[in-house]
Amino acid sequence: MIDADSGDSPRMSFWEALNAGCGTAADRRNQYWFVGWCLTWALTLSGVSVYLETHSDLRGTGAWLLAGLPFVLSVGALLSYLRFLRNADELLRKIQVEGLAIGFGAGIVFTLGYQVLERVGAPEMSANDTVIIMMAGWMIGQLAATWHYR
Amino acid sequence: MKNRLRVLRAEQDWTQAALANHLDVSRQTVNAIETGKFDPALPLAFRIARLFDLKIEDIFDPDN
Repeated sequence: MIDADSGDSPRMSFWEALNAGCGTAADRRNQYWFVGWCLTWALTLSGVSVYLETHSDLRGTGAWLLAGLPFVLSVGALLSYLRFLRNADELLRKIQVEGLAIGFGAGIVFTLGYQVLERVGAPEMSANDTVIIMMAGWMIGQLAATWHYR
Repeated sequence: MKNRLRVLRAEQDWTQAALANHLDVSRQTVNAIETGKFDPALPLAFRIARLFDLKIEDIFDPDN
């Protein structure tokens, strides 16, 4: 019987690699912190946006503090990701960096390339679309790297 | 880079997960090193060498 864990199989299946690719217990803990910060940031951003839209008369220091709250939380999310990346298992860090490179590259290439397409009639792209492309590239990059190192 | 990690692990009758636990890395890392897809950085290479009480060059062959 072939058992990858015993070493009889030279290569892990993609699903095994995905599962094992979550890293060590410390990596998983750091990932939970990062996800927690991201969820908090996303919920706060949505909440603040809705609140400011429904209270358009809000002005002054209070409005600025409220609008700045998501920025403060985004620093926490960024720091938690840096902490995860710095302490991550070697291979996991490599997979993450490759994913980030692909996401960043895809975002830049798509954004600049699309500007040319817009000139010949393609629908206008918003800044949010670039973020979506970068996030998708990051995810695809991680999956591709996990596949490569399985 | 070729290495003898798979053989050394088999001699100890360890699973990849057990070796990963000893080295404080993921099982995927152990698998990737064994298959030659990934070369560890020096700190991990030293940890592997110490674990098997060998020199780094006894485990990793830079000429391959």
